[in-house]
Amino acid sequence: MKLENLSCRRRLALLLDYLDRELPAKERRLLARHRASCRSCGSLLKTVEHTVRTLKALKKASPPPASARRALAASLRVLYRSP
Amino acid sequence: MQAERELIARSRNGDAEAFSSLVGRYEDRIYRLAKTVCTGLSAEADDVYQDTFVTAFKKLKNFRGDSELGTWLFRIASNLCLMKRRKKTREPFVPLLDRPHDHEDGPAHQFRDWSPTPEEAANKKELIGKVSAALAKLPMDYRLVLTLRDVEGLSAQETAKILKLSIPAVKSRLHRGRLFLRDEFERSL
Repeated sequence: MKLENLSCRRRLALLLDYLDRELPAKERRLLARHRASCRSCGSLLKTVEHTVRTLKALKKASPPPASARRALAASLRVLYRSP
Repeated sequence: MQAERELIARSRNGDAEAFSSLVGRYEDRIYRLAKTVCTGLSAEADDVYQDTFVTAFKKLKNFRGDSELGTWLFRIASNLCLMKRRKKTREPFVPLLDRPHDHEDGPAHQFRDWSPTPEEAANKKELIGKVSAALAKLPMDYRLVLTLRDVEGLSAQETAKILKLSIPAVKSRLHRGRLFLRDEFERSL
């Protein structure tokens, strides 16, 4: 398989699969080599990786606010009492 | 820590303390999903958080245990998010297919590297603000996939199960969503 011969869409899909480590070892090695030699694809992967890293940072978002917790506790109290 | 199975069994019999323990185990993750997906609408996020656990308590008898409780709760929360979207008249329209790099034919799009310097990357608050604003421009089903996969770190299989989608559909939304967010970052420079 030659990446240069693939359509833009197919190459893009492969590059994104590469990021998720969802490719067989042979294709992964091919993509790693391509990444190192193609500035445009290298830039795409680097900036998508940055985007995904930033998304992961949302995991540190705050816990539920006290008002939402109180409202949930009140709703559950009603349910616990109902038969 | 008490075994989850035991807490579920006691909750099914109306044990408030056991159900509160289950809420305590999952509420941060459920609230985070609601807040990320209902981005910018804290009242909606609060509703989804609350309704998820109320629905779970009511339907716990139907929970067969063939998936993780967390997966089941994510499914309830995701459905509630989607129901809220259906009540709205319009979702944002995103011409995801009209990206120059998404064309089957034609010259290959040239990407440039705008990834942040270490100093810029250290300013996480600004980056998080940018990614939240970009997420808000995506349709709900894309936001759900990105949140479950990239924020919560679930697998494509788990995400597909929660959203009742095929794995290729999850991957397609994930890839398009990431590219959209990437392009929004680039535009914001």
